[in-house]
Amino acid sequence: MRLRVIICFVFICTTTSWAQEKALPSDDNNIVRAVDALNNGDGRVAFSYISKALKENPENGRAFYWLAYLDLWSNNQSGALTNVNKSLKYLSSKEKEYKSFAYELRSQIYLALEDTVRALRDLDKAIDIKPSAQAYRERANVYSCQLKYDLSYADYCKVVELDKNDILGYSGMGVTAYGLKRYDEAIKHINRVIDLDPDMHINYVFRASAYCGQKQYDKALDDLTRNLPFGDAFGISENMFMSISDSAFVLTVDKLKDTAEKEGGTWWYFLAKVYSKAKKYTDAVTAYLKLFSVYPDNPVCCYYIAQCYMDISNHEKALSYFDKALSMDSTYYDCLRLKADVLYGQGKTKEAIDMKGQYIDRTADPYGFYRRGFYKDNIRDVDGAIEDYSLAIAILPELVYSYLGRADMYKLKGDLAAAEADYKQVIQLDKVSNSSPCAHFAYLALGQKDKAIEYMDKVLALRPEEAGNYYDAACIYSRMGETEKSLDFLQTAFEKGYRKFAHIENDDDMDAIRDTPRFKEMIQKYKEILCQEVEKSNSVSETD
Amino acid sequence: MRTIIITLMLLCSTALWAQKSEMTYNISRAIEAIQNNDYDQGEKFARKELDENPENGYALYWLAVALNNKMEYGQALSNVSKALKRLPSKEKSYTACAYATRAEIYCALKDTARGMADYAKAIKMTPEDARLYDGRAEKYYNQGKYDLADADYKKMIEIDEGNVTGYMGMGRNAKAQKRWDDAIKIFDFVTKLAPRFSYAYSFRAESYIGKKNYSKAIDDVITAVSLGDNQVPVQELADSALTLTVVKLKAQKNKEPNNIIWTYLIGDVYQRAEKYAEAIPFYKECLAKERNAICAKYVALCYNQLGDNEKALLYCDQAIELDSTYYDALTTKAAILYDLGETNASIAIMDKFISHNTSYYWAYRVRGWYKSLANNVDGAIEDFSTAISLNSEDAGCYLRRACMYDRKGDRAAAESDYKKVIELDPEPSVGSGTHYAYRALGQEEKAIEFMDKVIALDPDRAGTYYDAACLYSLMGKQDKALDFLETSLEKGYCEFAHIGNDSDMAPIRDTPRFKELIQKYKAIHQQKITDDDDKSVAYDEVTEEVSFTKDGTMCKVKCSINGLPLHFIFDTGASVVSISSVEASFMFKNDYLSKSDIVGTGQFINANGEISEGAIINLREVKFGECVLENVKASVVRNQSAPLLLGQSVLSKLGKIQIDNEKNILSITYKKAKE
Repeated sequence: MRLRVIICFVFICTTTSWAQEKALPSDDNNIVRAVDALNNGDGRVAFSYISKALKENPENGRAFYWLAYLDLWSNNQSGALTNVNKSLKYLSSKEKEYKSFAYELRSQIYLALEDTVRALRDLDKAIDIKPSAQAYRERANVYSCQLKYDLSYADYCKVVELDKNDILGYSGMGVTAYGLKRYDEAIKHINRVIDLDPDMHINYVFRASAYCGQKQYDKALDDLTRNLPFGDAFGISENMFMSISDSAFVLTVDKLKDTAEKEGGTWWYFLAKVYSKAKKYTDAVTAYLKLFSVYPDNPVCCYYIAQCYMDISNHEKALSYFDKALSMDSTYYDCLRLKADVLYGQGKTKEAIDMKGQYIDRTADPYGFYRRGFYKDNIRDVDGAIEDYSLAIAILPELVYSYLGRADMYKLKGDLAAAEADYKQVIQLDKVSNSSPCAHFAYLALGQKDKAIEYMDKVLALRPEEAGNYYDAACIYSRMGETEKSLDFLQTAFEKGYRKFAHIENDDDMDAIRDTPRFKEMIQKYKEILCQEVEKSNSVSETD
Repeated sequence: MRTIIITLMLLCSTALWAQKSEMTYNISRAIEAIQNNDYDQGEKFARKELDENPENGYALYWLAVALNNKMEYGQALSNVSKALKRLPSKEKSYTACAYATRAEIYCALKDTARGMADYAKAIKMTPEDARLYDGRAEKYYNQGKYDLADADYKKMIEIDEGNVTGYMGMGRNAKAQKRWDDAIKIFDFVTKLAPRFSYAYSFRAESYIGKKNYSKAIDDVITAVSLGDNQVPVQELADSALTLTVVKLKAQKNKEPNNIIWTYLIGDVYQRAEKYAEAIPFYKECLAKERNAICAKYVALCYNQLGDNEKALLYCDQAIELDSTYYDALTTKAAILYDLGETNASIAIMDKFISHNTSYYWAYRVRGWYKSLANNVDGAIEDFSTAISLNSEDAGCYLRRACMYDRKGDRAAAESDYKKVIELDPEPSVGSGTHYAYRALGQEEKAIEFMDKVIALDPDRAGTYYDAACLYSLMGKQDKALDFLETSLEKGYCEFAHIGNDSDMAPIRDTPRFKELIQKYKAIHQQKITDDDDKSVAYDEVTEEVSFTKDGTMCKVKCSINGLPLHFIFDTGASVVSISSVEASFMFKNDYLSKSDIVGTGQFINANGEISEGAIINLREVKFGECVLENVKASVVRNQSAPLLLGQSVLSKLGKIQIDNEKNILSITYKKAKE
């Protein structure tokens, strides 16, 4: 994923650079003026000169080239294709440079049309007629996107052969060497880029990727914290901090803390994200609050803080920060969505339904319909739940949980054929690797106990730290009448951080074990633990 | 396909305009007139040329083009045939166009064989002219010969792969054959080739509907409408996915609160789904934001359907007041007056409508029906006959005329018409009247069978049960008739004035049960009608005068846009509004524009707060003098010399525009609601 992001960045740089074109010495006045106007961003004036050129000679291949260029610039692929083909028709074989330009331009059009085969064919032709750094770069980009790093590398080498100071060429070599896992070489090329342009922070970000490949996380972190990233580099850096923290959590946290304490500002954001990923929510809240003190008018800050409090099940604080975010930006609808979940977490299901309704009205989000259906499901509004699940499915037919929820409701209504169809759909669509798999419930509902257990085991094995999956296992075994096993899984779920007591109360999957002494003890114990956790999060200072 | 296809003659004429060789003054004027769709003038100048040079092949060609567009096929044919003999042999393009034009004429005269032969000749002369394949493919499409049409569209793509028409044609063929996935794949490509070509989205929407993927269909309808397309499959969505459609439209409305089209569409969708009470608030919201006769009329129509005819009349009169040339409002008014029991007034309104729309068959049919209800038998027959002469395929006209012939005692004529009804409308569909024809011909069992099938098609439709009540009443089966009447009333049938007038009800009208049912349901209906505080609105005619300065040939007017003082250029030649990217960016950076004012698809604001060319901006308020234009859509244009260019079409929304170039005054005359 990280590599693709970097490749895309190099690609963007390459394609924007082709906007700075030059007329050839052999071009007539009209073309020269048209190109000048294009470089000044004046499409209308450029068009008028091109039209003049065509009026004088309706078979002017060069004019058709620039017309096509203008069309592509305006995102008019249709006009661009028509005109570049006319250009190719009218350009003489002696006009090699222009022919090459025209094939290059046409390759860009084909790329916009997602026809890589034709795009490559045209780049091959362009290079064949008159090799240029531009054409090699573009072809290298296409190969990189196809993960053909060896071919891409070869083309970037050609780029720097033609121009020893072509930064993008060296960048490309660096990125493709990285793709080929030749990290030493990647670093060597990126160092060359840095020599040529020491102020461009993204290059240090690239180098950090290569250091990660070598597992030199300290060097990677040094590069990443050199400057505050912005633009595309911001997202890439964020991903990298998160990824490095999986392998070197303490190192990452220490480095970010150090940088944040010296530089302040957005560095607290990266630290908070790393803490969140590691489920250290109280620490994350602390970091977000530092960020908030720097950007007190930023609703996104409030949103992240609210999310952290949600993860701790500190409902009051979560609600207050969502409300703060909304007061700063009333169109921040995601806050409505999550507020509804918080309300549900507090046991206020009817209010949750209303809040989710407000969110859905503004966004028509299928997940919104799914969740509202889920709330209605849990207060036994069977028809209401079916309606919402059905709308979720209508908008997003791949939304597995909707079929599961709806199947359960059909079963309650006695419509067994419809229930069975939906359970089967769950099994067909669900994957163990999904973030919240659920096919085990479908198997169980269809009477396939062994398959349910087998699936459940796979899910638990794949994500052993995910508390919610242990809760699901508790439900499965509860429904199968295996009380002790169910209680064991519930215990594990609590140990791993499961705190959704309002849902446990609503969930009829828990009915078979609800009256056991062990169940009652666990609920009491972990409710107390939750209180302590919430208390701890409440003690985090909200003032700087 | 729909309005995408410009007639081949015009396309040819665009190309031939460049020919200088025989371009006399008369021919130039003829071409110019035809290109401006003024075929009378085109004919006039072509004939003038022929008066001086009767053997001029070019003049003969252009005369044929003008006559063809006037649908005078006979004369068009003879002139184009003469042109083919007179045009110089070296003029390949002209000759090819002449064959293509003659092909069009032959096809219009239903001589398909000759038509296709002429297309072949045209293509043989200029095989690289894509438009000829387009014209022929269109005929193949209409004939259902999709393979042949595909071959022609493929040839078009081969000639010019950048032109969307070939792909759209192939997509349309796939759609017609219900090859939904193939069609979608093709339209996907067109949306990449020409992202702002709205028809690709509307056609793709139809294909998604075919696949019952309503969510994606609605997304495409929203995109198509954003791009200005109004030929979108709303009825199908209203029929099959009302809730989902409304949900998504409401979300879109929330995203673009200043774009009234979403509010209007929600009203439209509800209306098409016959949920009139739900539609009304949305139409009213549109009316409040834009003084629009169309919205007022639709509010009226909805109230009429709900049986609240007092309110319906109020809004209908508003529509007429807002735009006296909006004749459609008259037909609604006629329906309302009839439902209020004023049949003669209805007829008078239809007289007025017809005086402005003399070739609209439906108007004669409607007036004929009112006349039949007022027992003006001869008048009704005359109107139905006129309707039939204008459209001989409408079973309803024959049915109603047949009933009148029966009333006159002309059994033979009646029977002939009843048989025509069965011939034209043999399959049960919602709104069919063929059961009446069967009954009138003595085939009662067939009548009942047909009626049962119509009911089964939409078991919730109140009107169908009323039809059944009429049928059984005419068959003398009183109890069944009354049962059906009760069902229709239960399901919401509320046209009590019509029940009172309808001669079909005569056999059961005096029964106690009939009287009880009417009394009961009239009372229920009265209670249902909402008590909005709708008042009658009257208007004054007002003229505002605004001074301007001259900038070359353009009028420059001082204005303020969202409170920012600027000026606009009034460009009579422009049909759209454009704003310079410099001004747009300035306004955005200084909070005269917000993100929600950027309408339409795509990301148009870069990191520096600059708004790029191609964005559509909603200008909440453009004020000049005492005039205010609200929610004006403007395209952002790079480096335009004027901050804002306002075209005639936008200013004329305010009212009638007049320019006094001597006094440098722009006057706008419009209707203002009385306080």
